[in-house]
Amino acid sequence: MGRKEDNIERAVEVMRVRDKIRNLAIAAHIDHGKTTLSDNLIAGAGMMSEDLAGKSRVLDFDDQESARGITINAASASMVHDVEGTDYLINLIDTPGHVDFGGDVTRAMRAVDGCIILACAVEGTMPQTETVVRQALKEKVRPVLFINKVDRLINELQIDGPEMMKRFEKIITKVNKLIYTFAPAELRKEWQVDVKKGTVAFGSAYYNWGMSIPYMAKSGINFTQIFEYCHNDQQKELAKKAPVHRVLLDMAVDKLPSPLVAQEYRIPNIWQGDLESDFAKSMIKCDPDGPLSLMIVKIWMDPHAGEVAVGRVYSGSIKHGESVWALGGAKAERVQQVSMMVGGDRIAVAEVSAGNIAALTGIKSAAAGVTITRNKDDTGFEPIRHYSEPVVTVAVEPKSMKDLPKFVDALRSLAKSDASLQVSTNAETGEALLAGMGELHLEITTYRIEEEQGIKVKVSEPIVVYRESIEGDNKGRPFEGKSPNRHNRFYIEVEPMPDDIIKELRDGTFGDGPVRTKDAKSTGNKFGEFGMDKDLMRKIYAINGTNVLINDTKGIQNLHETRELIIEGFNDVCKKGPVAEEPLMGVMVRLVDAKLHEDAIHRGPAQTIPAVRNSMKGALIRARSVIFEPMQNIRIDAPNDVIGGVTGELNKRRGIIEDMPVDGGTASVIGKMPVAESFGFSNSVRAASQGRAVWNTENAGYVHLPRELFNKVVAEIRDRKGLKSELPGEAQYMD
Amino acid sequence: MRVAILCSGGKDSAYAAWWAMMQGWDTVAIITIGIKGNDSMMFQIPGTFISAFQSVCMNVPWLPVESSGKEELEMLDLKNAILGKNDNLNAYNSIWPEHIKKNQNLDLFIGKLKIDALVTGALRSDYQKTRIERMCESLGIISFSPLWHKDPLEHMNSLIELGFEIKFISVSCEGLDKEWLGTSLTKDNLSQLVNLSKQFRFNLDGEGGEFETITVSGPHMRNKIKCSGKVCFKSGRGIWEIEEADITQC
Repeated sequence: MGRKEDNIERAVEVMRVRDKIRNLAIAAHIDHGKTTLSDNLIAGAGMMSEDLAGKSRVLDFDDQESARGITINAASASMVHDVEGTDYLINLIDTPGHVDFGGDVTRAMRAVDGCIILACAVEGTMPQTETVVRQALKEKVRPVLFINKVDRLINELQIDGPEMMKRFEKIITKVNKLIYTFAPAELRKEWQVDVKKGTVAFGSAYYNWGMSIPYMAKSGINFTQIFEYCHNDQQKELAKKAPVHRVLLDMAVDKLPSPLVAQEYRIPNIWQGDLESDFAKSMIKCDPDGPLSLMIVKIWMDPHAGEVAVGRVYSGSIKHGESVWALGGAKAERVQQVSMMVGGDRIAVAEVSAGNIAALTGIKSAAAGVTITRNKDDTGFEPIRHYSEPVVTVAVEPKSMKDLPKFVDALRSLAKSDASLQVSTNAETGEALLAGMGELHLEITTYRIEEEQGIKVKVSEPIVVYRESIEGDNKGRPFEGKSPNRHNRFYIEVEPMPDDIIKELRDGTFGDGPVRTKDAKSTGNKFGEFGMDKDLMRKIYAINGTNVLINDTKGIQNLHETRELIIEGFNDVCKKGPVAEEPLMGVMVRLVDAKLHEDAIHRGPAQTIPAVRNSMKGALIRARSVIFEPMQNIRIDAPNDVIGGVTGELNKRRGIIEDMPVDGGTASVIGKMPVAESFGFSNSVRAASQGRAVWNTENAGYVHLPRELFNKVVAEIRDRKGLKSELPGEAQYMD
Repeated sequence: MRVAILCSGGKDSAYAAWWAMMQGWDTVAIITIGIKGNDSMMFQIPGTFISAFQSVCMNVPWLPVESSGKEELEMLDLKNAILGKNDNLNAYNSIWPEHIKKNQNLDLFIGKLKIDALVTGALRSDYQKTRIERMCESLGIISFSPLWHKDPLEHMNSLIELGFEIKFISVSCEGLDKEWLGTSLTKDNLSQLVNLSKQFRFNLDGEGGEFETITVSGPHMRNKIKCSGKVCFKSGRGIWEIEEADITQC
């Protein structure tokens, strides 16, 4: 314990030496050994017993995480690492590798400047790795690579030196390709990982050893020796000579940027305000004495202290007891406690300064993505983009009505702590709808309500979230929608957005929400860069998800006054499409004409909004509505003799098999499967493979629902939502 | 002061009529525009013939004006009526609904109106007010709008407190469903209306055409009007079609 306290003291000292700080994350696919590696790093830095490292999983401080053996939440830990007599402060943010929690990964990436991509030497890079790396690169987070589980390569697969090199090369090439594709253009060459440059390390986190070219030079250990150590069951000795924490933290210190370096190029990328302002300059310089700017990346519930907000300080220092604004909040709030995180422990400190990760209590209006400042008029960070949209919903209600108030509180804090979870309540039935990234995500969420909050709940069968879209257009045949008082009419045409633009919209390239009039031109130009009609797109009114609203009218009097209401009507339909009240996707909506009552009182919200809604819904039906369903990428690995049963199971569920590589005795099935067919998949795959298959999924976006299923699916949704069974036609929206 | 009251049969014009009487002015006629088309930007359409019964209850002559509802012609039709250029009997017969029994005591106004002022129930619609003012100016008379920019909640409350009985005969805005049609405004459903108007952001006093009303009794009327009707509601809007109407003796 003494060593731990000593470390905390050193950490507080280094905290203000900004070029001696490294903020990093570990990003990888599920089960590639991320939490094991994190524990090694923490143990190496003296924050837990070395024997426990690799086995105790400090970062999995959620009971559930340990039980399920996967990391649910990104927790953070600070540690001190000494390189040739100089202390460095490493702030580590752990990220979940499971596909269902992609939201956490994005948020963690915003808080760090560098990341260790963890790839399994046996399995290579996996679908999730690509997602994670892409998320890191978009946030301008510099990657280095660690190839884990090398011991298995040597001992289980009996691979020799040249073969191992080949395998490494394959992984490195794949990672570099990803970096080249997704890194910002000016950095993609510089950021390529290379064994010779020391940006690649390999080893075994479980056996606590690691190695890199610079460390080989330093320690004098060569490849042949590594093979010997492994073959002779002497990995413990190897770990003494080349501890993985030392190798990796040396690499982090040497190759990853300090906040002082990183904030200079990252702030313009992640912060949207005026870069010439003092506020921006202070962030770019990472000035601990400048104005406070802290972005919350995560909220978690502490049983004693309540909500704890973890965030990165970009500028200034946050002190306990001071009054701060959570931007968007109603009033200033007092910081009750400022702490550093060490696994499950929060260590209270007097202040945390720029470039570091801080944990705060007392800020009620903090939520993931919120910026904390001293002045309520400061500009916050842009909203965090999500790379995955919720695809599955369950309805949840407390079994006993007396738990209702507690239940409502529990939902509130869940929604705050997990930004990838959407919580809404059905006003009529009182049940809550939870929308999440997959069946497992929601299972864990309801488990939390039951176990952590002690509320017994009833959970409905999972429901797939579909999307509505169109397959044709109604160009030249605008649909007229009238206001209830008939004095206002709107004429709308719709057409599908090009696929590549939908992808950019989803990535947040053009932003989301209403477009301010003064920004319309630049937003339009941006669309122009992607091959859209620039002049048309400059007339943009709003973006909602992957849908775009354009004012394509000419010289309509008073239209500007109803702009906000038109956008509201558009947003309503984007939320609930005409066919099954499912969200709309990938539609360009053009307002081509309008007739407005010249008196403002006759075109209020209760008139204009329904008129816009009607005209947009009618236009969508006229352009032939279609349904899109969510798909997931799937990869199943199983021994050759049982793979037949697995592919059969996939075929039964409308799965598409894209590739079936065979590697020795193991075969893999790589393909896609509709989420709608995935419920209960784990049980049936287990049965089909006698429990020997390992499988992973990842959201793969939306595809056109086969036409023959359209009526069946729509009827099911409408029935479930209590809508009339007959499908609405154009006539319904005409008057 | 000799005045005429522009009356649609609804709550605001009834209030305006009561207000004019309280000023001690001489009310010469009740003017009602009957729209033959489907729509008007300016005037109420359903149930306007109720003004005829109101004029009987107020003991004031009734001046019906027929109009097509075409935006550019409406005001001209009204102006011609005031100048006595219209055939009022013809207008009466033309706009009167076939299934409603005409009242024997109705005093139909014939000839040119000699008035100093026109009183209207305009609330906040600049469109209505500027058109009326322009017309009055051209006739050399003045216009009064006693309810102009009165607080909507205060207005609705005062209607109930002063003893006006008003019925909803049309709804056309999001948030108002067919339950409202044919019902009378009370303290209870007013609070409900207030909540809806906040939720759906419409005008509490119906000034944007959210709903239309008829006044069946009030402090300025000697008798009550009794009527029955049926609800017709379709795609977000509806009317209460008056099937029978008459004056009760009391």
